Amino acid sequence: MTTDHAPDTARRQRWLVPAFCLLAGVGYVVIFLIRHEPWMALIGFVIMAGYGLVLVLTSRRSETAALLRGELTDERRLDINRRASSFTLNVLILVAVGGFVISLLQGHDGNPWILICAVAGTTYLASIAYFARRG
Amino acid sequence: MSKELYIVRNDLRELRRAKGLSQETLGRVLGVSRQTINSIEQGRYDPSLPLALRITRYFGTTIEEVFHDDGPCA
Repeated sequence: MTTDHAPDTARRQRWLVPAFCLLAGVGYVVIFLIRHEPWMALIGFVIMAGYGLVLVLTSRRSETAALLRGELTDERRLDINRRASSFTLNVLILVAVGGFVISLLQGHDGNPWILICAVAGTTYLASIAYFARRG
Repeated sequence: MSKELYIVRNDLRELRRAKGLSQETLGRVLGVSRQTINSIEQGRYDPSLPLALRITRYFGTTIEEVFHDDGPCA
């Protein structure tokens, strides 16, 4: 198990999420300007850029902010990220299965829930097989 | 695998204080965050074998002298 990252990688990681937030903000601006909704463009940009800025400003004091910023700089933080991702996925699967059942009960064909469940199930199966071989 | 919860105590805090190091400094030396050092000291996080080895090598000691297996939790 690797326990830490090279300083250069860690430095790059620190700016990946804020840069993505800024890019997403610019994306909102472009999309809403094309749709002739300047206020939504502004709101979208402020929310995304603001989120990135908050992460940059608070990540030194708050480990939660650091993790959200993508500072997975050691094994414990990687472990936290893995557990949070796994928990999030479990919730999403529960929602997808629930959505599928409700969709069937309402007389629909279960789309798109069935597709999400199928992708999740296939990915889980393939991942288990891959990681079991990899050890 | 046993479902019993094992408690592994450690003397990291004592070793660090004996050297006059802060959690931040020790974290920097070992390549981990200050919060990770704090979590190990409080017994909330058990380090991986590579990190445990780095800790013991840094303090010039052995795994058994730093980490103590108290057996399954009652």
